[in-house]
Amino acid sequence: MNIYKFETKAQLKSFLVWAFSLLALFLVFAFAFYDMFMDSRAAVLEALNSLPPVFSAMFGINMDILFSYSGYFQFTYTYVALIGAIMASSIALSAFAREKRSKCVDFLFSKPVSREKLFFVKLLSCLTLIIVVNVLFIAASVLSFAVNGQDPSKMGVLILASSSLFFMQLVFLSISILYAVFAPKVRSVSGTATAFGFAGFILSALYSLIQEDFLKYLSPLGYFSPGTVFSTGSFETGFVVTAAAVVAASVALAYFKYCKSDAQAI
Amino acid sequence: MNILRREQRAGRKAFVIWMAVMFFLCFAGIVKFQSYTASGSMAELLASFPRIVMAVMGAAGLDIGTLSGYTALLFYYVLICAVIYAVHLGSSAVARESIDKTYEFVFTKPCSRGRVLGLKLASAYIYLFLFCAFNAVFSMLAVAYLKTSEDVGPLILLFALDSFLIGSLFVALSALFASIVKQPEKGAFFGNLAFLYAFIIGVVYNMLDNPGLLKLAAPFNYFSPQDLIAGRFDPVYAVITLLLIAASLYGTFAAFGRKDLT
Repeated sequence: MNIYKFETKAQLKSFLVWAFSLLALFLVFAFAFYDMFMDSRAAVLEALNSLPPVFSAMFGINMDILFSYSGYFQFTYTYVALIGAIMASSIALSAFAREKRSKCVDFLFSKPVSREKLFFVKLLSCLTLIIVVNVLFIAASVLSFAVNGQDPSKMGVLILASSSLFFMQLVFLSISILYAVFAPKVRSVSGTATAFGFAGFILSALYSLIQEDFLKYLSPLGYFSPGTVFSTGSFETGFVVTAAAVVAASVALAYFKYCKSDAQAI
Repeated sequence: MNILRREQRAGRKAFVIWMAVMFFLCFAGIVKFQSYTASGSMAELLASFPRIVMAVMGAAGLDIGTLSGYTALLFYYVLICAVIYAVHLGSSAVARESIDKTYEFVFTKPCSRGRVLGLKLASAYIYLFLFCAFNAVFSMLAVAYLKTSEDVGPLILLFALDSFLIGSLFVALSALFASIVKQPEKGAFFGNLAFLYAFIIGVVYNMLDNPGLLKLAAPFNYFSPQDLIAGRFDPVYAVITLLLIAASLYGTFAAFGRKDLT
């Protein structure tokens, strides 16, 4: 329990910074910009109508999909997910590389607590933080859904769609745990976490640009997409399986390494 | 000179890894380019949309049916990478020895602190310059491989200059943060946070029709891709960037000279 408290408390400050950034971004986008976006529908229609109909068909802009709550939610989610990914990575890196970084692995490992237990307590502390931010995020999405006058019977779909963030963060959490346990040295938690998050962001952007299938499986940011949930009612099975495999494999590998590795003394 | 050489060696591994990633990004991206037939009217149509619609659709006023628009979009990601690398370079120039607990070794050498810091920052700028130069070379190779008629050589050079300038700004900013804060790790944290906020403000900037002064807070948008495609390099913002770099570097040296090394 002491370890749990210590871990959670040590993360608190940066957790607040991340949670604030994530929620503030979502709220600004979902409230301030949503109306502005919807209002621009007329201008787009006008622009399209000024062209010959052949052209506007060719551009393939589906007005009802573009100007829908779900389309806009997917756009906002791209950036929320980016911050969420960086957040999950930095939580995992800072929990699992803390002793390595401050060069006190021997101190912790010589305490009368098994390494197995240490691993799980650290994991539990990370999960707690992620669950808290996701509960807040889902609450914020429900709020924006209700305020923007959407059909209340679709609330279940919305909640599933906004839980994308949670599953995506689990993937980033487990990959970062793996990295933190295996890397010989973690110099900068925030630098590595930012690199992880933006690597995911650029991979999914690259996928949307070049449409190669293998890239899709390489970009964990896109495994869980609210857009898919809004249109089909569930996540894509292939990605759910991939994500589960990635999480299970990373956590298992990290667990064995953490329990067996040599404890460095200075 | 030895310090510079040592610094260069310390940063080599990270640089090689970054270059491998950038090589993949440039090639995988550009080689897949296909021009659309209707690209001329596409650009016109896109220009008539409100900016917020463009932002949501994912191409901020760029026509990716032309090679220049496509390259511009790709270089936006290169710019992001350059800035992440720049934050790493800037904060580790100041704080790496503190984090590795080797500062006692280097700062007791018969060499002033300012000189050591200057050489470390010089090494950071050399790497940033190489990063941008290599990216330009990779993209030109990829474009040559495409064998299109469109000449984007000058455009790629302008983008490289853009990423070097903005990257330099972030080297200086994160060096400044790292030399002001007490704990060495916090410097990188603020550097990365500044980068993330600049990125998000850039997204918001692209959504507004009249962003006004918000542009000052969005370094990613100092040099708009539309301007660069047209061959213009905004001199006002080039000067602003240089002034910001100079101010941050001045602050870095001032703060670092008085810093408690712990």
